[in-house]
Amino acid sequence: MSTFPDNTVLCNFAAVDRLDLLQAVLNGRGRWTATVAYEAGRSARFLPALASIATEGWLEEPIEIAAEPDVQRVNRVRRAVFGGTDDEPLKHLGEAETCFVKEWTAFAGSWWIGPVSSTTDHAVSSATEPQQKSSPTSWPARLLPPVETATTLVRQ
Amino acid sequence: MPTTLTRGSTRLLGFAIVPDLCDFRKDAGSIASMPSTSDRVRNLIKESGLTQHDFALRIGLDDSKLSKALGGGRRFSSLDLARIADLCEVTVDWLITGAEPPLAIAARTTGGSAGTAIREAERLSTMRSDMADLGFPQPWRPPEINLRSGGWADQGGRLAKAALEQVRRRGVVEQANLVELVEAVFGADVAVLDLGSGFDGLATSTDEVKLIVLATSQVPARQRFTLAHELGHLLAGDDQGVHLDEDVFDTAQAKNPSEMRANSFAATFLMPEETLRAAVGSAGLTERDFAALACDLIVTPLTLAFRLKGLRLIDAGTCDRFRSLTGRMAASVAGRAAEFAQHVTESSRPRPPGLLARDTYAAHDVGATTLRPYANLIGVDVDDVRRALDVESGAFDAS
Repeated sequence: MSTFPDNTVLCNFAAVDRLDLLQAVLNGRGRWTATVAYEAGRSARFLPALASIATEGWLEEPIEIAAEPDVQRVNRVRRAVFGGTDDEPLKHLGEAETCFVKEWTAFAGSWWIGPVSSTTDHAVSSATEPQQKSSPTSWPARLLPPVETATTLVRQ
Repeated sequence: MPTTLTRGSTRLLGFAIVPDLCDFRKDAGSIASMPSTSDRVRNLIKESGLTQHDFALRIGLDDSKLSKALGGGRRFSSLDLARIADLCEVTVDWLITGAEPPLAIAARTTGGSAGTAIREAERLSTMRSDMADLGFPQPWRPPEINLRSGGWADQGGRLAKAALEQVRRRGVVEQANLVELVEAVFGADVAVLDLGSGFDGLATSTDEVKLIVLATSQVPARQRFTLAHELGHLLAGDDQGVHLDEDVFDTAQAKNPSEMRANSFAATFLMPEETLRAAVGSAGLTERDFAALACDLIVTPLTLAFRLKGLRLIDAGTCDRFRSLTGRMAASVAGRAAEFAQHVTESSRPRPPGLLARDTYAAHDVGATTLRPYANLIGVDVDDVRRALDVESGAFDAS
């Protein structure tokens, strides 16, 4: 079962110089999408420790979404679910990609650790399926509250 | 003058965006008809003036990966296309499909207040389409009426009568807030924007979107007439695309058949014949009666005077006398200045589209989206909205 940390979470751990702790918690199950890897690369300008994730490879190769219908779907999820706009095509793309690949069979049952504004207030399971509405009972069963998690983990 | 861009229009009228990296212009022949994403990217590279190597660097690819993608040996990823779209100020959807909606074309090619209105209409239309995709479609409810017979003005009048009947069936008071009435009865979204002067409103219509954008105004009767006019366009099925009305009272515009129909619709909808006949009665109208009627209907004295004259309820001389009143003067004559001030206050206030706000919140409420689309729509920081919603409020401890 995979776990997808958002770039915000990576930054949180990098900021307190405890990426090793996150790596240990993920225990080889961590994954990231191409855009989350790109975002982490950009954040590494300010938090150099982030660069080590790619070089050490503990989130494995970034997952790319390349089929054009899938790219369009991700773009729509980015806008509709996360409030992105066409003027800023990169904004919320990492979240939308993660939301999308979590639905792939290969990643069924996986976890996503992300910012509260992206995760804990919507049902990821429904976001990639058009014409379907989720019920409140389908709210995120597999989302770890990121800030609390990071804080708790760092305290140990 | 009205401007109409219709569905299927692919002519790109210019490229007003001036980015520092991709300051190039596009035309339909060179780009929009190209068959594949690779072709479009190749053309963007060419027109950017950058070498392929430099372009690859800008989008974070090495030469080999870009060459393979351009040659069909590798597909562009979601990230690649977003970075290309960001660099070249195009959309990801356009890169994949080559299709550009009329609103997007208009947004790129129109400046001033109209351009601002179009860009907002484009943003709101995209949100509505996305909401429809999530199961929250535009609740569009036009009256069922056959408009194939009769002249343009007659069609507008008949359409208005059918619309008024729909209002009555829904049990809505006609003189209630017209923006709310249009949303509640017909299911069109209405946004009011602070656009400065020189632009009255627009209507945009696609299969998924029925949207009216109005400018804030200190002349409530003008804003109200614009809304009725744009509603007329939507209900008549005019212009599958976007319809701009920079000056809804422009005389040259009024000669256009669809404008004639929309104006006739607005006049009949806001000033129903039976209402006017009842007001005139057998005794006719004094200036004070006329002023009170303008206040009742929230229309300009000028518009009301012409409508009364058109129905032969007043003569030309009376029309000339009445039309010299302004809305403010009419309110003063009728002793309704306070009410008039309230209308000015309301029409001066920006407003997000109510139905779209309702649906973005509902989508969040059932867990289909984050809170961001709703927060973006109402123009409030998402964290502020979340904090406000999460805090129990309304209890007042008087102890």
